[in-house]
Amino acid sequence: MKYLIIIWISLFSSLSYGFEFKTPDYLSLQTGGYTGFATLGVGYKLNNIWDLETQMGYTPYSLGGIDITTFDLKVRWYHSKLILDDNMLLLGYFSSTFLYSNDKDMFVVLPAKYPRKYYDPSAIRWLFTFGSMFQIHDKYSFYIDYSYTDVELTKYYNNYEYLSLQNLGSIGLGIKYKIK
Amino acid sequence: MYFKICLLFCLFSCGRLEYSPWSVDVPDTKLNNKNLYLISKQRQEYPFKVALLADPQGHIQDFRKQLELLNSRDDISFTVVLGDLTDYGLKEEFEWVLNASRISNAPILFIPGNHDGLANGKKIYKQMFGEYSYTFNYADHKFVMWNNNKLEWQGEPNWPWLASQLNSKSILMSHIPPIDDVYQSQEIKYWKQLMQDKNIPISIHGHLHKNMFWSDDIKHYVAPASVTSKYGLLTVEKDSTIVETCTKNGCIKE
Repeated sequence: MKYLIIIWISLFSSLSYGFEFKTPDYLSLQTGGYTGFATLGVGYKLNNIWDLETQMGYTPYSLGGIDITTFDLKVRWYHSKLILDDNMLLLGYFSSTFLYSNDKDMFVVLPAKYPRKYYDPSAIRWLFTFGSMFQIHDKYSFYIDYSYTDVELTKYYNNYEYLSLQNLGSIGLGIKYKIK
Repeated sequence: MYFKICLLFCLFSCGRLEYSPWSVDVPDTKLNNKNLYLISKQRQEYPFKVALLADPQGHIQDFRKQLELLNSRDDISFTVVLGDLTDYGLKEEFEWVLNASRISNAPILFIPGNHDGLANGKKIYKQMFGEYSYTFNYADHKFVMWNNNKLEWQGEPNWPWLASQLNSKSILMSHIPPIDDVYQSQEIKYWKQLMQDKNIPISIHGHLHKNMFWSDDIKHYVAPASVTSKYGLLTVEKDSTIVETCTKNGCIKE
């Protein structure tokens, strides 16, 4: 597990900054939103409207029915900004997340026992999120967002008479702490 | 302004809070056990009819419409869903099927399909629906509900179990029919020989998404997927079985 975490963070850092390690711009702590009960992340501010973030999430047996560890890579796009006060901002955003779980029963590469192209990878899901971030301090921001999985959106498209978007998806709550 | 922000946060907070798409925290409903009990309390007389649905995976709307159509009939003793309730074995997909199935007037039974064994689907299936393989009697017939998803379930198919359950009054139901590429030709040969030796009346399956009927020494029927809006109908008489494929406009004998 620890090697996986090291590889994940290293790869993320390398990819995001041309193989040169840079201290992340911020840390995040989240609950819900399909990434875990407790999700810790580090992120880089690419420019004024784009963030790139990676997180590790954990959901205990008591909440998930099994212990679930996830890793994710998230791209966040700030589409609007509302200045409320000198130190207060309200930012609207969309994000897309590549979510991976390393459970032993799941796979990214189709195991050899299956016929070719029999299944899509079961250890990967995509999340599509919209949300608002409330910056109340130079260092701290709070965010609340709503995420849908790729499965929910595709199944909603096929079953819009039966499924309701209000009964799909998950709320996510988080705190972002600026390091720099 | 602050009021609007509070309102925005309140709107979000009306939503659900989920921790993982792969979670398995489902209620321990064991729906098959409850419906087997209801079936056991029926007046079990010949002839009786069994509705056959298959592969609702991702087409819950169509599955629900099939159940509404079946509810308009009053001659169905029970309904069987022949596996592939889900595409990815996710909790939410199982819940959609479970909730849709609640409208069924007739008791409804499930068997697992290969897709239901993906990710944590096996654990969820067991909690929601019960055992993977099971048997029950109806009148003088024995229904053998067999989990034969050999690639997704370690240790399956359980051939000795199947051999011990089949007899000349056994109606075999499993997700994968004895023609699929996941089985090797030797296995299919053994399976067919077993059915012939026991002289079973019919074997019924899903998986292929279209209705098919063929007869070698044994009659075989594959029920159509939910997305086709068709369903199979098995009529069991004391010494024979008839299978039909139905739409809302009527049934055609296979």
